[in-house]
Amino acid sequence: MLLEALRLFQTRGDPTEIVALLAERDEYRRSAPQRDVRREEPSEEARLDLGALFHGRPVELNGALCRLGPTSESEQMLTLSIRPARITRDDDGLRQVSLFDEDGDSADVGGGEAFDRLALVTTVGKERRSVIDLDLPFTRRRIARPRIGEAERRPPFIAARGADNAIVASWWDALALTDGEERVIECLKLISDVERVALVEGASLRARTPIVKFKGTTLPEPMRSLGDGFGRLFCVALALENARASKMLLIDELDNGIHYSVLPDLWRFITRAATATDVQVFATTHSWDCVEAFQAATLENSEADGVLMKLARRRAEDPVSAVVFDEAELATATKQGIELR
Amino acid sequence: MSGPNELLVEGSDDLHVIRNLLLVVGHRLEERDHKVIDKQGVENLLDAIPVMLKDVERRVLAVVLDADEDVSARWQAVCARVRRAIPDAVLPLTPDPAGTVVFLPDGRRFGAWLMPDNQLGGMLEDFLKLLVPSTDLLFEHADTFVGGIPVGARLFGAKEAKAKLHAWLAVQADPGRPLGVAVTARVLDPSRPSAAAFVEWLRRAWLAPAEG
Repeated sequence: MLLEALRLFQTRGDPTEIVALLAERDEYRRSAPQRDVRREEPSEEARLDLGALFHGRPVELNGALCRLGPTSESEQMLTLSIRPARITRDDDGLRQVSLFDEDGDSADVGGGEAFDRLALVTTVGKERRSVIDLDLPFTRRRIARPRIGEAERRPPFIAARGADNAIVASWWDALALTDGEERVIECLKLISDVERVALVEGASLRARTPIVKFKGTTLPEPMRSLGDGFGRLFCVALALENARASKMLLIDELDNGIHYSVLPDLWRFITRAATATDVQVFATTHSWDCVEAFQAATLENSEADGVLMKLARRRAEDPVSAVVFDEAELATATKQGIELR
Repeated sequence: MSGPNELLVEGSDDLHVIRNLLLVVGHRLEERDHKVIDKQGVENLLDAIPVMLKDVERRVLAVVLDADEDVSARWQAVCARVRRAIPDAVLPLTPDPAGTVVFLPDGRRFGAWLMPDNQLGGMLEDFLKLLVPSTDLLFEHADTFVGGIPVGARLFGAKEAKAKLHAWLAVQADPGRPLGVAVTARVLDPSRPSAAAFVEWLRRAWLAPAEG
């Protein structure tokens, strides 16, 4: 949830990112066919389940679904809220979503009409950034390409299960014949004698899959046959190279599929690459081995600033809050074997 | 998940004395509920305080450390470490003579005992000297022996209390018992008031279940 909050904040609540985020988690609800004649698109198609965006948070009309940002700078604060809305046509007859004001009266819309749908409204400070019609049926095609200027804000994100082949392929293509490609290979050499990597069409025509050629062999092997750790390392290295524009990389459960003995080298690579490219890396883990490897790598690298943020509840009934351990405190914890529970 | 109530001590002598003192008053420690951790030195112990207190799932933390020469300076060092983790923690200006127990703003408990008695400078052995039986006739000899060693030959440096206590243990019925064993063997008397005060603090600060 932390990484998702960062994604939303970093993209200033870009609708494309919200849709992508929910779609990645398969958060749809199937609504019954609507008989209401006022509805334009009665449908049994799946719709995004917005209530799933932040689990455990009540979805209230006109209330803030979430606020993300520095509490001291209100103009930076990103707010997501649900507002009553209806579809209207503008002067050119184009369909648009119009909002009602907080009393449920028509504000933007002509008087006397009732709202018939809900919209997700994102604002940054006081400025309204986007309005998403939540009753619009969801299809894959709705994950539109982000608008110009927004694409570079989107931080590469690696989910706990890895990134989709299509995304990996797009990251790889972005590096074609650049130094970045070589740095990715260097990273893979941490765990084996890799010579070259290519992406080829496999069984699925939808996305290409990576193959690897090792030193001293004649035939390449599919990366997938080399174990989860190999694919994850490839993914991390590619994502880091592709994070140069957004200056941010998000990795969920970094150590997933990675043998604990590789973690120190992996973190060494990440801290080195992140400082060289000026990328801020947010990685989550439940593994203390991973935290120790992180600590050792940041200690070795004087240019890297590393902190551990622990998310915890003081008591079962309390909300989750973050506690920050700086490098010195983290060093004490690992040196003295103080496990941060 | 909240783990055992933890008690940090400076060294293994402290650990064994505390464990055995509780044993002779009828309290056998269960590691899953109460854990004594030897931090191997005062610096490590002080460094551990803010790190452990920041971890909000630790509901109870207690520390036992030597006051050494300056009880006030050591107390300030402890307070500074607590405030590093919990800036709004309310701590007394001087340690409570009965042993300090404070509740942090979020209801967690922190306890501190400065050896020997939260008021004087000194160390674990100064505290143990207070447990010498009232009928004892030998401590005076150990005191005279160690006290009579010329300055140039004092290899024990500032650890005079430690030298005296071990010199005293060296002339018991079973000479040279370690400190912890001396407690269980009742060479040191756990019924002395100083022992009772310390045990009472252990109960309040560390043994009592976490609140809330």
